[in-house]
Amino acid sequence: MDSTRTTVREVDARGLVCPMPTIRLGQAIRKVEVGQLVEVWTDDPGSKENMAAWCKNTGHELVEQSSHDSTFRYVVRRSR
Amino acid sequence: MKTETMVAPDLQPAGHEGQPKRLALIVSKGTLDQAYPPLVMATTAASMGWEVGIFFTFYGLDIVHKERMPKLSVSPIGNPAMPPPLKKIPMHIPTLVGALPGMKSAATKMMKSWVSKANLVSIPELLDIARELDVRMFACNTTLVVMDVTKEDLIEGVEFAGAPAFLDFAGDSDVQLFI
Repeated sequence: MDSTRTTVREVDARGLVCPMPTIRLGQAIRKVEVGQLVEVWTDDPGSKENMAAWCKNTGHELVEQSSHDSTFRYVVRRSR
Repeated sequence: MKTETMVAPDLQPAGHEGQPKRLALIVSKGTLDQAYPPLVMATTAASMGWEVGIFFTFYGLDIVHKERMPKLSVSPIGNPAMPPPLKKIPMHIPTLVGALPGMKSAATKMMKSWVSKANLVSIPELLDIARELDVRMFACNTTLVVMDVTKEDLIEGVEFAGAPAFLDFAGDSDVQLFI
């Protein structure tokens, strides 16, 4: 899936400690339409578990994740 | 860059029969170190789509008090977190020293410095995020009377409730914490 074309909001949470990346994601997801994507950048080492828990609780879909060195990138689709 | 596609998680939102989960917090302490945990927990839960209500009671009311909130401080006396974990001073600071003038201010400055180094947001910013994410903040009616605080003394967006009304909210919640 080419998420770069449909990502409508980016959250650069690099340098922010837990739980700020997910709080920033929560703020961003309210500002996009259902079906649209939010891309989150973070260097929180616990972000993999945190993002999975966040998506499980909110029902929004974690459609993509990748990592490079100590930076993680997540793409989340607003589902409802 | 390594990219892996995740299996879509369970799309059923958490909570009972599609209802969002609910978190009820009772906040009774008004120091800087006791203000962070409930506000961090509340904003995180709200970011996860949970309904959140915080009941500010007794000294906890200071956290939503216009004039007292910016002056929240860390007490070095009777605080189990003292002495602070300073690598440079690997010694115990006697409680009596904590009573000296300036020690409270020093402990407060130290905490603000850790928070800032960790890029954690300030208490006013956390309160702004809480309002943006629809966290409901209730001021205890009785505390207003006992501590001689008026509704005008409190920050905007605060609702007023008695213990029975808040317990009604908390009784239908999934997680309840007293802080």
